[in-house]
Amino acid sequence: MQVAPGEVVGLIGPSGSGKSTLLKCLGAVIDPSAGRMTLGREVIYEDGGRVRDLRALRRDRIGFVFQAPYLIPFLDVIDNVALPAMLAGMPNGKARARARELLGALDVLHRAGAMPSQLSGGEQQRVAIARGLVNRPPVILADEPTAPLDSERALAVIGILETMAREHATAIIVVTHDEKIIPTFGRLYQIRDGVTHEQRRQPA
Amino acid sequence: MISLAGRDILHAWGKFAFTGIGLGLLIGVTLTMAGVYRGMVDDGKALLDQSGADLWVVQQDTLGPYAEPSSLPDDAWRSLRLVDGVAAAANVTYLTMQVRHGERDVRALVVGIAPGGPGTPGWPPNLVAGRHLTRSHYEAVADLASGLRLGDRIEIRRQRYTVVGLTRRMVSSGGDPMIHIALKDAQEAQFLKDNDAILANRRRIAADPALSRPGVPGLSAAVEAALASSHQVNAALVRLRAGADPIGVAAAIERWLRLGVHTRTAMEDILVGKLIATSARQIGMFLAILALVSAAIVAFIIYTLTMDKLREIAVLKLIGTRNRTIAAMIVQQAVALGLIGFVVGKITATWAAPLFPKYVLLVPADAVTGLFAVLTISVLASGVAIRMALAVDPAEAIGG
Repeated sequence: MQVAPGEVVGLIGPSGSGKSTLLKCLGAVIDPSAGRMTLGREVIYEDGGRVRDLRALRRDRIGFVFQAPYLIPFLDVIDNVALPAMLAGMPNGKARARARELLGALDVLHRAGAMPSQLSGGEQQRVAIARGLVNRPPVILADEPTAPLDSERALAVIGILETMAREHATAIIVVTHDEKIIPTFGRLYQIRDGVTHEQRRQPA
Repeated sequence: MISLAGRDILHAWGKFAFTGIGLGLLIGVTLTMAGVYRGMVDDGKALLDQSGADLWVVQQDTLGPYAEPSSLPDDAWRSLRLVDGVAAAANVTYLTMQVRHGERDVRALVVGIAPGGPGTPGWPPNLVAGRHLTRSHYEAVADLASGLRLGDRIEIRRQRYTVVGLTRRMVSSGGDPMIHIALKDAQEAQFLKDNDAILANRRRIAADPALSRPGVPGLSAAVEAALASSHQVNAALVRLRAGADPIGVAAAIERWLRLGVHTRTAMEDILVGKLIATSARQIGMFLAILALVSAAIVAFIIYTLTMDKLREIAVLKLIGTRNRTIAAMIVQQAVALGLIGFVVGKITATWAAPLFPKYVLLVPADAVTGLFAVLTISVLASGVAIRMALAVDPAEAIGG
């Protein structure tokens, strides 16, 4: 399985097929039992060996967007987005400026001072996407990002991810069950019996 | 980096405030209990300070006059004044009893003081109202804690007394207010028998052939008089000359007058180390239990607050938050809870202390010790929650 910078690929498969497990391996959360994983030229896993600081790898080079937004309930929108940048050592002011920029691009800047509980589901998901992008990671892993959304909003979210991938040369892998967004992917990986099968298609 | 703990506290301030108030009331009780103990010690020291004595001369082999009964002849003070180093000596009696005032009783330590004036050992050094005793009978100087006022009439045994002066902080080691009366009155109150007992004694003497001899007409009257009058006091208070060695003077009195003598240091040891030792241990047990309960409450609250945030903690770990940042967040919340509790507790104790019937002394040093204890307990109590938070797998943030 290979994903190029600026590309958005889909990852589908029946329940229990191992989509989430694969996503956890790709996200440097759990170790794969075998195989090789590289990010750019850097080898992340190979034959039981791995990079030492997975936490820093996740923080600096991988962005996550979850099925539910999982925003930190006690931080306002701007700080939810800026937090990963602050954790990476960026000064607060600069992190917030970058968060504002992303919120503007995702059309939720007007809710920057709101608390997560005050946002609609779609707004929360856009804020979560902004959080995943704030460190400008080369890879974003999205776990069912459109599950709680209606068709219109789901397609809008995929559109945002595609724009972000193009503009920031980010490789994005979207795990999904969502039939309405599957046609939007140019490349799709399907997991069947523990094996990934690639399908190339013309995006809708 | 922003303060995650601070933001969480601001977000859930109601939960923190109410928990902090509950914890604060517990801490308030703890501080007050410490104040009760301090008050008992201070009462004991005040009793010694206000007596104006450097040495307490008592019956041999007793720890009197406060811890044990003591009785010595009321002319012993004359010999004491001749001992080298003694500036003044005066008799004193102490009797804890119910003093009647109108329809109510006042628990008080009735002190009999020898004739003299302010400065005589045993006399109250300062009055807040009224005057000292000037008549030889039936006047009293009472402490404010007794609730008595100038001009009040009180009843001690068979006699009525008028309150002519008021003192402050003149109490027994048990916190009972002192009422000073003339020594003769106090001796009567303590030693004089009631009329029926005197009559019974007369009959017994008259019936005793050894005491009613026809050839010795004044014998029975002399025996009656000896039995009816009292020449005993509980102690003699001695003030030393400047520069006199208390231990040397005490040794001289013990050797030549064959009386028991306690120095100021020894008397403090008796009062603090013996008289209130059991109460102190009791209060110490309470303090230990309250500290454990406080720790359990902080631990439980922080544990439940952390339980509510497991998903957020998984997300924080997934996006690269260090374990020490998460641990610091939990510790800061526990410390904040402890601080809120301490502030509420200190205010509660300060407000409640004057309402207690006995003296409650809140010492700043106890407050500082209490603050450090609360902070230490808070940090230790957050250990369970930190352990749980650090065990959270970042993978839990990813579905499935």
